[in-house]
Amino acid sequence: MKRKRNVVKDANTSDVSDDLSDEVIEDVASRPKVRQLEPILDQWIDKYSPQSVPQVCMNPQKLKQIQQALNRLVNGEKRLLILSGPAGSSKSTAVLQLAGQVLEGSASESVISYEEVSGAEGEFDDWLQGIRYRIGNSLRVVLVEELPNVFHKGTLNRFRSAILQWVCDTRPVPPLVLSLTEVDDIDGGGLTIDSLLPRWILSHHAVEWIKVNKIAAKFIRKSVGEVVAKESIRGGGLWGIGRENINTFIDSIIDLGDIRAIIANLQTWSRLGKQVVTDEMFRRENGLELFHSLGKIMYGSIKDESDEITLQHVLTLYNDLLLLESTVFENYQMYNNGTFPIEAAQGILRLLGDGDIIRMPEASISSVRHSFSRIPRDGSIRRDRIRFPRQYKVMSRARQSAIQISDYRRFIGNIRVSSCDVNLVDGFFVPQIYNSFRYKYLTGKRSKYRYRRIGGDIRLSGDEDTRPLMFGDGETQEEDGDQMDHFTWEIIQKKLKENEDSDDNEGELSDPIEDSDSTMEAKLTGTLEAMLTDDSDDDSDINQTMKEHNDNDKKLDDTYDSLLSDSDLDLLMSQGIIRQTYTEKVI
Amino acid sequence: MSLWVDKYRPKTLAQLSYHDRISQNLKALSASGDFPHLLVYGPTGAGKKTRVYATLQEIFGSAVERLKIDVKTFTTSSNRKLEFNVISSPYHLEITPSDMGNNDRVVIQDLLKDVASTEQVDFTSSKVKHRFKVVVINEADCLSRDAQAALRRTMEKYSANTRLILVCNSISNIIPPIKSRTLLVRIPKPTIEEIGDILNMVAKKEQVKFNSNDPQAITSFLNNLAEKSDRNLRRSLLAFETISMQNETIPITNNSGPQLTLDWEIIISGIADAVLKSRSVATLAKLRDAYYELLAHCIPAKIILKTLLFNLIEKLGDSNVVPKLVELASDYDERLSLGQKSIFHLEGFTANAMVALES
Repeated sequence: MKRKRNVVKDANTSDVSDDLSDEVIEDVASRPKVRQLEPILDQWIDKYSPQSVPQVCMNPQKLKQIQQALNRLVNGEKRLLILSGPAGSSKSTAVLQLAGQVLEGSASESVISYEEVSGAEGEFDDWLQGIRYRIGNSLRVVLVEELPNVFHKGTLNRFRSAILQWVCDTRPVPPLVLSLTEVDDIDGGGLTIDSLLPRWILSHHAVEWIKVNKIAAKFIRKSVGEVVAKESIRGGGLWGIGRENINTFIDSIIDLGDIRAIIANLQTWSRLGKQVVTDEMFRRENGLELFHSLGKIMYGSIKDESDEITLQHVLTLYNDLLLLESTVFENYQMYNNGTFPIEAAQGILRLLGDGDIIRMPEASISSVRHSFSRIPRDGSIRRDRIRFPRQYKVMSRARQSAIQISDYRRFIGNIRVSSCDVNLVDGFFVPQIYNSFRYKYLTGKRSKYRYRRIGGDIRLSGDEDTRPLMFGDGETQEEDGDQMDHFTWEIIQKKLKENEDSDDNEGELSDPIEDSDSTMEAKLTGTLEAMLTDDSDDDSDINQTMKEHNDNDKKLDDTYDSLLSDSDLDLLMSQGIIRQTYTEKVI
Repeated sequence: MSLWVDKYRPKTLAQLSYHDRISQNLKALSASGDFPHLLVYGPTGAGKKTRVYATLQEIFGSAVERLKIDVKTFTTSSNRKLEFNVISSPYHLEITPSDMGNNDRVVIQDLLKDVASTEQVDFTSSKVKHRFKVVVINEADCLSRDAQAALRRTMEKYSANTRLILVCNSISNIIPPIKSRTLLVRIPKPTIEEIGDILNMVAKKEQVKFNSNDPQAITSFLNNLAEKSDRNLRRSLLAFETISMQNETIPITNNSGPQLTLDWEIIISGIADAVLKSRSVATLAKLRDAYYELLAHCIPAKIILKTLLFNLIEKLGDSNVVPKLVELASDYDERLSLGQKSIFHLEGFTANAMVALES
């Protein structure tokens, strides 16, 4: 996981900047860490961490919303509460304090939080299984803020299925809270709720999702004010610094909206020889976030005098303009909830297309801003959620399709038929022929599984929302044998067979499709399961971008050596069958 | 049991059942023992590849049917390994440039150099006297301009011992220097009746049962099938086999029977309906899901665009918007070639079509 770029790098705040993961940085002040033997209270964020609910630095309304949600979790109405928001927005602190209040105990004893120890793939499942009996007298709020390594696909799948089981379970479970600091940067491996959990989990009736925003200046001022008051006494860190200077400094950084960083920065500043420094050093050049930039492009900014300034701001601060361009495309229709004239949409699309053609996203982004500024706003409230561009997900699905098509051509169909024809024509008819009773009757061929459309079924993604029905009994897709595609099965058979016959270079085209013997089956089961997990992952998230695939290819060579000892694995590896699964494990 | 479409594929020029003039020309060509570089083009399912293979068979004998597949790896300048399939027989090899992505120029050059530098020596058969090897390039219209430009030099340089056969759907993407260096062979779509005859022949050989014995009714059913399959022989045969596998006896009522539309075509037809029914930004956003789904299944954006246009034209009937739509589609076809994010342009076309329909 990428290290947070906006943490002030200063020796005095080393506990903040030396942590390697986002999630660890999250609410250092309030974490119920066992490994700290003695609390070190010379850090203000520890020293002044809230001890009661009213002290939590957050909009009281939001706080109340979270409290109500926690109540619903405790009485079993809901099973999972998701809190998402930027770093330092008091998410975890709020949960900690509210849990104490709701369970009528002390804050630190009311919460159990997940901590990764070994980093093994199934560690989270095991932990979650163990924790589910913390009900009744030993009721605890289960807080997950540190995630297992979800950038590894296998771990991500295990994580999702663990959450799914939890949500669908009919037995009572303790309240589960998932608190996630969203990072929306795909290059560094972004992490958002949408990429972490598939939509049908998010829309499940037992799941509640509350978004926490940056903390407004008003509430920060209050919390920071308390710190200032306590530290301004003789012997305190702010002793001897004029109140005016302190206020000037706080004003300069209050826009961060990150209570942790503000208090930490204040402390650091106070130590710098007590001189008046309202240095740039503390005002972090916030690389603009993706959705924030999107907002600026679609709606402009009231703060800036003109669109030019806003644009300049966005174009210099946001670094992945191609991604921003796609995001604008994915969300432009939300302006005025899509009620603006189609001609305007036509214009915007034309501009985006031009930008794509001349490969200059800055040009299209700028001109799109001007188009939007000409559409008067109707003042309606946005209904839909902002979407991350789906383009990357589509690309990765297309790649999987292409692999299946080329495997089909090579191992099952006639290699002379172009992949385009296989996809457009054969892919639709051939499975129907093979699946038909009459064909099986005439040929005497039995297939273990159904043949599915080559390259995957084409269906509108609206179906996605109906999918929970399939999982009604908490069954995971991986266990469902019918999901296996017989083509995939045959391809694996052929790949194995080809390897056995590697001396014989001919004949793979004329080879009849054979039924496999049982030993082969046993040998394959592991592989098949791995492939199934892979194939069934329709919700493969945006993080699995092309880049990662390339990386996998590169790493293949390294992995190869370590697997040479096992002849079976070696055999499969060389065929590229289990490449992904195993490579990932090694990484 | 192989599929009918493979089982009844003609293997020699003599077996070919339509476009007799073309077959005769190819026969004459192969009888001369040598031939120029060829550019074989025509719509899909018309029989281009079948004719190419039949010609090769005529020249080299049945050995060209002994195909094997090699996976070759090529290391690009950026040190990425690229894998692509090469299909080969002792006398020819066949490549598909779309496997190679942006590196098609280097890969093809490399490969051709390789082929050209190894001279064709065959001591086993005295009959074969040809000293050249044939390279078939599929989907030649997908070759980048770069690769095409490189190809034109290569064609001249190695013409002593290699012959190229370029196969493509349309020559509009082929640069003129290549057209000038090749013999152009156009394979048009077979007529409905020609397909109907072939289906009839297959029906007899496979003893397909119909619920009517009237040959007239059967013929019109099969012709109808051919028409619905867009006069694509491959598609007609597959559709026919699907129908006959799903029905013990094929019901023909009112000269028609069960028909099959491809899954992706149904989605595109749905898009066309939506465009005609409600023209708003909300519809645009909704249609994006459909486009994404198609793209995720490797349905080429250009085919989506073309099919959508034809669907709109068909649904509009005789309307004066049609010329405007065609113009827009051709504009967006070009934009698809130039751009990278095809979804932008597909949605762009949709928006433009909506505006055109509004006015």
